Amino acid sequence: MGEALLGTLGNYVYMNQPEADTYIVGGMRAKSEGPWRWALDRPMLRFYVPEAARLKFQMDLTFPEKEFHETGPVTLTLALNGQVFDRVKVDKAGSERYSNSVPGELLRANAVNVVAITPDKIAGGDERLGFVMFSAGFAE
Amino acid sequence: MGPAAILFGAVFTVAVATALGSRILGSACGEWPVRFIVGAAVLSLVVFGLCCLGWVYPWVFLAVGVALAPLAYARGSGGSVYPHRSRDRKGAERLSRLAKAAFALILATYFLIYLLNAMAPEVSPDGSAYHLSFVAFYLRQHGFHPITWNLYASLSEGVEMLFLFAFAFGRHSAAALVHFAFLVALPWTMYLHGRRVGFPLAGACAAALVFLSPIVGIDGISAYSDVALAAVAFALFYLLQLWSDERPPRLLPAIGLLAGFAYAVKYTGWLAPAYAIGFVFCKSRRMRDAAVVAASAVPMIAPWMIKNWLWVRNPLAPFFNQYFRNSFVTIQFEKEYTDYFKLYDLTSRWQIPKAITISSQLQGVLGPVFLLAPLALLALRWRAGRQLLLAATVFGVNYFSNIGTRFLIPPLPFVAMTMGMVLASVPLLPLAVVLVHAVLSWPSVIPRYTLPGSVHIMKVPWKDALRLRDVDYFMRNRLGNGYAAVRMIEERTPPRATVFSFRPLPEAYTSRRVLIEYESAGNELLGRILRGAFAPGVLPTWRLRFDFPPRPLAGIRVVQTASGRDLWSIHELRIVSGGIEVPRDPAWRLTADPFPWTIGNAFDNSPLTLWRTGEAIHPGMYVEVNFHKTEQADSVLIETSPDQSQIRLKLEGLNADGRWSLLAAAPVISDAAAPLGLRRAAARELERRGIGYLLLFDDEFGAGDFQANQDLWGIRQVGETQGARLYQLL
Repeated sequence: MGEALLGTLGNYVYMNQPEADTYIVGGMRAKSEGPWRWALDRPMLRFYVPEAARLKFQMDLTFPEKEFHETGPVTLTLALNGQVFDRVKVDKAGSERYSNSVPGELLRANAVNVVAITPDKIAGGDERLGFVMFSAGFAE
Repeated sequence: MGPAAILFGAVFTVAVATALGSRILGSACGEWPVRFIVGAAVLSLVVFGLCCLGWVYPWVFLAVGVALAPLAYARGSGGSVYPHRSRDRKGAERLSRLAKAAFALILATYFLIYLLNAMAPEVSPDGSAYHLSFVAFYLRQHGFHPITWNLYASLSEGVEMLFLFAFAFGRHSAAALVHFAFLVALPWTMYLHGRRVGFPLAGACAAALVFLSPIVGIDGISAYSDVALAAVAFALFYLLQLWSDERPPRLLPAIGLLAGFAYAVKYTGWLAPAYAIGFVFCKSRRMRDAAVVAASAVPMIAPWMIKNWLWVRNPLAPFFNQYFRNSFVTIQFEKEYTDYFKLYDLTSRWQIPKAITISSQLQGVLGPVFLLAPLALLALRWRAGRQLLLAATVFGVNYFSNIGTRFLIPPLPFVAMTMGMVLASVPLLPLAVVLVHAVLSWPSVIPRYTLPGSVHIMKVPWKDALRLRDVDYFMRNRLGNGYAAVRMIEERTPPRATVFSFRPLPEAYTSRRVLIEYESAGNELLGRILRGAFAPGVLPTWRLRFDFPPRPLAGIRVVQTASGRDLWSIHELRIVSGGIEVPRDPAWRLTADPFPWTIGNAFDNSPLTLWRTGEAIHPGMYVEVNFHKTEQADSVLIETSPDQSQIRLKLEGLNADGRWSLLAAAPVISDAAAPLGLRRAAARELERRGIGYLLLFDDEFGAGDFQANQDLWGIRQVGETQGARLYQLL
């Protein structure tokens, strides 16, 4: 059965999955809005990563026009198990697909791995909103 | 293969067919082309029988041929005792010496061009892709061996049986030369008919119009079957007219044979038996005569239907799958396939006349002079003209199901005859039209009025025909990277290897089994498994979960309730109780409607294999599991791909008392991650199904993924040529 149906973690999460909360360590809104969920100032996700030859970390994100107008270009810092492995600059509002190889030495095979995605700027207000996340995780 | 072997294979085949035809027709008809065509029908049946017996060896063919050849000289096989009755219409159409010389010169020139092209290595798309690949396969297997992986093997193969006879001695070009023999027999028969009915000039003109037609030329020099069907159709017409006038009873079995052979040559000849039986009955008003024709036609038709029934459970395969449901060709594929051929890339049927005569948008041209074809209607004033136009209707009735130009070849001779009759009303006009046609059909002239890519004879490859130049060079030049790919397959794979390809290949030039994605439902599944491992949209990331109060159930049924264009598919179906999957039991009875044959794929724990409806969704489709006992359950989970947004599902449960009730009106839909290792799993799945190699061309969708991720796929590139890469599954 593989995925989170039985409460176990998988290697990838869609925010509309019933078990999406299981993957979230923190920095995300408590509830998804259909297929997406707001990421706040320092979203952290966890995944169970099996033994694999080569893996990429992938995310489907959106930077809404209104919030982006407030923040301007945003740089995301990606860290795996506490080690920074990439920085991505987002210089326009709209949808973004991130997909990049992950250094093998940072990955823990057959174990839970934690990924932190930290934006350098976030929109202010009652709630500090970073970006919208649809899905994230490890893929081949 | 040298020119001597090529010529021997073809000439021997034609000679044996002629001998058989002479025996059958006896003194009732002494003309060579008719004898050859009637004998070809019988020889085709003989070869079919040898294929069934597993006796397909060159020495067997040689022995059979040598045994049958003396039939030509047996008693009762002499020339016609019914001399052609030349109704001379007061000499109005007598061929002048000038006309005779002009026709002879033109026909002889084109004969030579065609002969040399037919002798050159066979490079036609369909001939090299399937007509001759099956012939070569039957020879390697020494007979029939069920071919369930290629829908073209289900088409009737009457001419292919003759190709096989010639191929055994002279390989591909010998087979093409047999078709060329039909190309020669066709105009000859047309001329004989014109002369018989008092229109010799019309007959000569029509024969030339057909013989010189660019599409007829390229088809007739290739291992195709359209010209053969046209020749059979016209010979049938000729015999019917002869029988109508003279009533020799010996012609009736020959008429039946040809009527049945028309079906055996190509499905589009299906109306020939009804036409022949109806014609004979209308003329004689005797059931016995019609019965003789019918009884003679059946042995030519039935074997192909029986073969299809035994191999793919559909006597009319690969068509009519909605009536003869089977696991080999899906209804959806048939619909898409036949829909395309109704219009190709045209936007209106009004574009057809220009496309088939000038622009070549329908894969070849008849020639611009056939814009005069409406003149044929003026021939309705003659009885002979009415007979010809009736036959044109019979053999053209299928045209709008496939508007490719070559599908007009069977009715073309009848139309040309009537055109000739009308043109012959004006002195010298037939000759002038033929001269213009000869110029416009000249290989180097055709590209001046057709669009690029037109299918026609391009040059006179006499050095290649006589094998004075490297055959491999000619093949690579004419068949492009497809030929290079099959040669690579031949060189880099072991003898019994099976290769999967998304794109058709000239399989006649490899002895390996090649599975082309679109050519069977099983191959389609292989392609889907591969794409399902990496292509967005068909990754198995969709989840549909039905939740219901816990209860004991004797079975469940997922019912589809919507109509639409999507196909419903299920990769895995899981029954859940308390968050734990109910273990699958071999005693469970799994059923599905439609396409029940692959429902096991939804219960095999493979995220890539799938059950699919094989036809567009409509209400009432279902998948059912009968537990044969009661199982406690509170949820049913379907894992599948998101390319089916139109489906609407509900879940029913079978209670212990045997009644079905609604468990959930709709599922909760969500996405899930595609598991890691899908590419490797896909490769393993193909390997499990007997595939050892993949062939991909660089310009195909996903080719880059295979090349860049060989380690993830578990494949290794073992060859590369002209943009084609061969991978071995490790």
